[in-house]
Amino acid sequence: MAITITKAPTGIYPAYNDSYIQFTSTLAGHNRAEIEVLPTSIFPNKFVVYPDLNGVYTFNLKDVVRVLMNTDGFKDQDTTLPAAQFGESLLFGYISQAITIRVYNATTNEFTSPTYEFIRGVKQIGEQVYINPAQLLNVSDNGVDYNLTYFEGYPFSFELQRINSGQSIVLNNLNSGDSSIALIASNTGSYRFYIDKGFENFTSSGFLPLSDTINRLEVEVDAVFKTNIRVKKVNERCGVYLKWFNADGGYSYFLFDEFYRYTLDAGSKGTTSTNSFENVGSLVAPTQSLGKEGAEQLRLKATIDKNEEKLLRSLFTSPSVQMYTSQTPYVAGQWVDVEVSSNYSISNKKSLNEITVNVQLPNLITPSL
Amino acid sequence: MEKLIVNGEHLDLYPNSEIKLNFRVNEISDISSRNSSYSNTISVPRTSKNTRIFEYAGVMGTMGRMPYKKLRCSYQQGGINIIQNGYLYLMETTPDEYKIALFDGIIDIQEKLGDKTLRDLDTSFLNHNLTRANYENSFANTSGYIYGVADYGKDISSDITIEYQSPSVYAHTLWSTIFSDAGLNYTGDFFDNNTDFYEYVVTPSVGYDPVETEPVITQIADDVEGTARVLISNQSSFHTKRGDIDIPTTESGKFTSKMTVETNGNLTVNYTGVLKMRVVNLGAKTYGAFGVGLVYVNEQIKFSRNLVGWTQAQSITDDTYQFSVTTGDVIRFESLWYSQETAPNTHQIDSQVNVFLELHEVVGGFEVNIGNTLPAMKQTEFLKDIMQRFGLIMRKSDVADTYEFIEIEKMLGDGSNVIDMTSKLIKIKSESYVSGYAQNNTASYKYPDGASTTPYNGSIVIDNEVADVTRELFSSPFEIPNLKYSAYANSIYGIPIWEDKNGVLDPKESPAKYMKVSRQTKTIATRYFTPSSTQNVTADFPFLTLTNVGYDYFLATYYPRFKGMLEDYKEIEVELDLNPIDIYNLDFFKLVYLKQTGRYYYLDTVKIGRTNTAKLIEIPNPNI
Repeated sequence: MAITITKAPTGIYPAYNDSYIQFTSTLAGHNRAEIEVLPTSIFPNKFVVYPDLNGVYTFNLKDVVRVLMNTDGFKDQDTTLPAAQFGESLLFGYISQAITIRVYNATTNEFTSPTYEFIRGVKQIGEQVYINPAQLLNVSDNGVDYNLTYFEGYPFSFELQRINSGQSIVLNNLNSGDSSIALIASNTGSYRFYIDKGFENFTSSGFLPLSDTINRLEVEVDAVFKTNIRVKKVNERCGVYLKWFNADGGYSYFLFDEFYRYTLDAGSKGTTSTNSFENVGSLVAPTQSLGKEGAEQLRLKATIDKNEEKLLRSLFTSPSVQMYTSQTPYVAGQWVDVEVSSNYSISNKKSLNEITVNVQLPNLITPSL
Repeated sequence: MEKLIVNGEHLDLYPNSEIKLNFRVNEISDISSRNSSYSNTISVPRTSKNTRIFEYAGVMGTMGRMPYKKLRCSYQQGGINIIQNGYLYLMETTPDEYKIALFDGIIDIQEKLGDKTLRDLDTSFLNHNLTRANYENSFANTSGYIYGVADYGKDISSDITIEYQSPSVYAHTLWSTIFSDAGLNYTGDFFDNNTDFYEYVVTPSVGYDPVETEPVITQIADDVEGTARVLISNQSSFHTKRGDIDIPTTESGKFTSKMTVETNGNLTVNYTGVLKMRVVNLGAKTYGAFGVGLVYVNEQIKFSRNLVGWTQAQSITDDTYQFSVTTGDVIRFESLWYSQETAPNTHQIDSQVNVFLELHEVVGGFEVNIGNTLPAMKQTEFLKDIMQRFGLIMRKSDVADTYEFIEIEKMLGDGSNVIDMTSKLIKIKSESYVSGYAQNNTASYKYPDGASTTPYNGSIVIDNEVADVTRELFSSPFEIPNLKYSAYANSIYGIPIWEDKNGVLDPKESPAKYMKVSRQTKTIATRYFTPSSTQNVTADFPFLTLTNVGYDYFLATYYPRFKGMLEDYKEIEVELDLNPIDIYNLDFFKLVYLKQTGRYYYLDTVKIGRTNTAKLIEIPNPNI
C-alpha cells in the first residue's frame, strides 16, 4: 500500500501562488484523506478532503502557508543589524514545512510525510520557479544574473533565497579581484548581505570595496559559483529613499530626486451644533468645529535605466512600502510606512525613462473635539 | 481606533471600519420582549490572521467549527470597551472577506436556558417526606415550598386529607433556582425592597400516588455552629472573594458516628442514605454588592442561597435540604461575595457569615419530589411572565454572569438619577407619535374550559383615537383556577391534580396557577391516610387566594407611569455627539434630560456608527 504524490510544489516555492498537491492511494476502499499541519497551536484541526471519481485527492497548501508566512504582515522582521559582519542568516521569509497526509478507508489508514520549501514571494503567469537556491530575492530573467543599484550613504541590502546552516558564502569583486571574507550561515533560511548599514558600508569597512561604477560581483557558496550581481554604485546625494517588499520575497530600495512636490490635504471633520440658550445681544455661533483631518502627499520623480525599470515595477504592487525619514546620506533616519499610488509608465524604446511616484504619508494627528 | 478582540486576539479590520451598533435594553414598542444589543453585519478582510482566528473558514478541506460557535468578543473604540463579554457570529465567507455580527447582553441568558422547563430545575433541596409534621411545618415557610389550602381533587369542605394536599413552590424560589442552576446571578433593588414578589406561589401541576409510610428520622447533630471568615478586601477593580465557613473540630462532640468533622472544617458523611440538613445563614456586610451562601458536596455546588442583597446590611436565611448521600461524601460551606465600588477605583468587600446546622438521617418514608409536580413550563417563559408582571427590565451587568433588574415604574419616576444630554445633542431629527400600542392593551390569563368571564385580565387603556383598537400586551402561561366552594370562611379554589375514578384518586395534569398565600388562624380537622388519624389543628393555615393576582392590580401598581408615557406618546429621534467614553457610560436604566426641549425622556435605543442617533420617548416629569 502506498500514497503516490502526483503533483506538488517544486523547489523553493512562492508562498502566494496556489500550491496544489495531488495524490492517490492504493489502500482498498479509501474514501478520505486528512492533511495534518504543525504546529497544532496554529492548525488545531486537520484538513479533510475527499477523492474525485478517479480516486485522486487534491489540496491547496496556499492558505496554510500564508498563515505561516504572514506573522507580522510584510514588514521586515529581521531588523537587528549584525554588529560586526556584513551578512546574517534571516529568521523570516523562508519555511521548510512538513505535512502528514493520511488516507483512510473504513478500517485502517496509511500515511506519508513530505516536506516542502516556501519563500515569501509570488510568480506571475509566464514566470518560472528558478532552482538556484542562492538566487537573489529580486527580479531576474534567469535566477542567476541580477542588476542592483546602490545609493551610497543609505541602508542597502540584498537577500539570497536559501543558504543551509553551516554553508560558507563569499563575495568576489570581478572588477577589482577582491574577495570578501567567508561568512557562515547560522541557520537554514534566507541570507542577507548589508552593503550599507546606513552608518557603515562595504567600502568604508574594507569588507569588499566597491567602486563608483558597475561592480560585477559573484556569489560563491561553499566555493561553488552560484550567482552574478551587477551593482551600480551611485555616489552620495540627497533624495527621498524608499524601501519595499518585492514580489520575490525580498526588499528593494531606490533613491528618488531630492526635489519633489509636497501636498497637504486638510479637511473638516464636521461640525456639531451648540446651543448657548442666549438671546439677541448675546448670541454666539450655533456650531463648532469637530476638528480637521490632514493627509500629506509627496510626488517623487526619478530617472531610471532599463535595469532599474524592472526593479521598480514591484514598487507599485508592493503590500509594504516604507520611506526613510532622512533625505541626507550618512544621516540616520527611521523607516515609516507609506502608501504608493500612481501609474507606472515607461517606454522601452528609451534608454532612460523618467517616472513619478505618489507617496501618501501617514495621516496627520490633529486635535479634535 | 477600533479594535475587535475575539478569543483574546485582535481581528484585522479595514481602516475606518464603520461598525454600527444598536444598543437597546427594552424597546418601548415591544415591552413584552427583552432585547439584546447587536451590530450590523461587519465585513473584515480575509487576511491570514483572520483566517487563522476563524479556524480556516472558507479554506479548502477545513474542519473548523467557528461558524457554528458563539465566539466571545469585545469591541473597543479608542481603548474603551464598548462591548465587553459580547458574542460574535461568523455568518458568511466570501473570497475576500468574512462577514460577522456582534451581540451583547440578553441573548446569553436565553441561550443558557434554552428550552429547559421548570421540571428540569434541580429542586432536590425542596424534596421532603410526606408527613403530618412536614405538612404543618410548611405553613410558616416564606420560601421553598408550602402546602397551600385548596381543593386538589378531594373535597376539603369538612376536613383536609393531608396526603391529597400538594405543595406549591414560591415563585421567588423558582426564580432564584433558575439563575443558580444556570450559574448566573441577579441583582436589583427590587429583590431587596419589594414584598409583593415574595408572596406568590406556583401551584403543583400533577399529583402523585402517596404511600403511608413514616420515615425514621434520627438526629446526627444539632446546634452546630460554623465559624465565619471575615473578608476585608479593597482593590482598584471589581472582584469577588470566597470565604470558607469552617465547622470547627470543637463541634465534633455534637455529632454521632454518621458524620465526622474534619480538621479543614469540612464534614464527611459516614453512611449511605438520605440526609436532612437545616442550614441557617446569618449574613452581614459593611461593604459588598451581595453575597451568596453555597453548600458544596464533593466540590460540586449543591445548594446556593442569596444572602445579603445590594441594599441590605444583614440577612437571615433558613433552609432545609433533604438529599441522598453516600459514604465518603464531603460537605463544605462557603460564602461568595461580590465587591462594591465605594469610590472611583475603590472596590471593597467587608462581610461575615455564620452558619448553624441541624443534621438528621432519614430512613424510609414517602418522598414528595417537588420537581415532578412542577409545571412543564419553559424557564424563559416563567421569567418573562414575572418580568412582565412586575414591569422589570433587565440588562447584563459588568459583574460576570450577573444580570441587573429595575422596575420600569421606579425608573420612570426617578428624577434624581438623570443623564443630562443637553451638550450632546446635535439636532432633533424628527418627532413621531405612533407608539405601536392600541387604545386597549390587554394582559390576560388562561381560563378553564367553559369559563364565561375573564375577571382577572387587565388592560392599559389609552386615550388615542388614531391607535388600533386592541392589542395584546401580555399573555400569561398561568391559568386562573375555578372557585369550587366556600369553606372555613374562605373561597376554596380547584387545582385538580387528582381525579376521582371509581373512588380512587388518580394523579392528573393541570395547568399551573399563580396564586397568593393568605394565612388565617383556623381550627380545621385534618387526617393523614386513615380516619382514625383525624385531629383538629389550630394554625395559621395558608389559603391559596387570587387576591392581587388580577392583571388590573399589576398594571395599576407597576405600570402607571408607563401608561402616562403612552397617553401623550411622543418619540424623538436625535443625533448625538458621543465619544467612546460616553458610549461606554450609556445607562439605559437612567432617564435623559434635554434642556433644548425642557423634557425628560426614556432612552429607548442608541445606534452607534459614523453618526450616533438615539430614540427617546418623552415621559411625564419624573419628579411629580
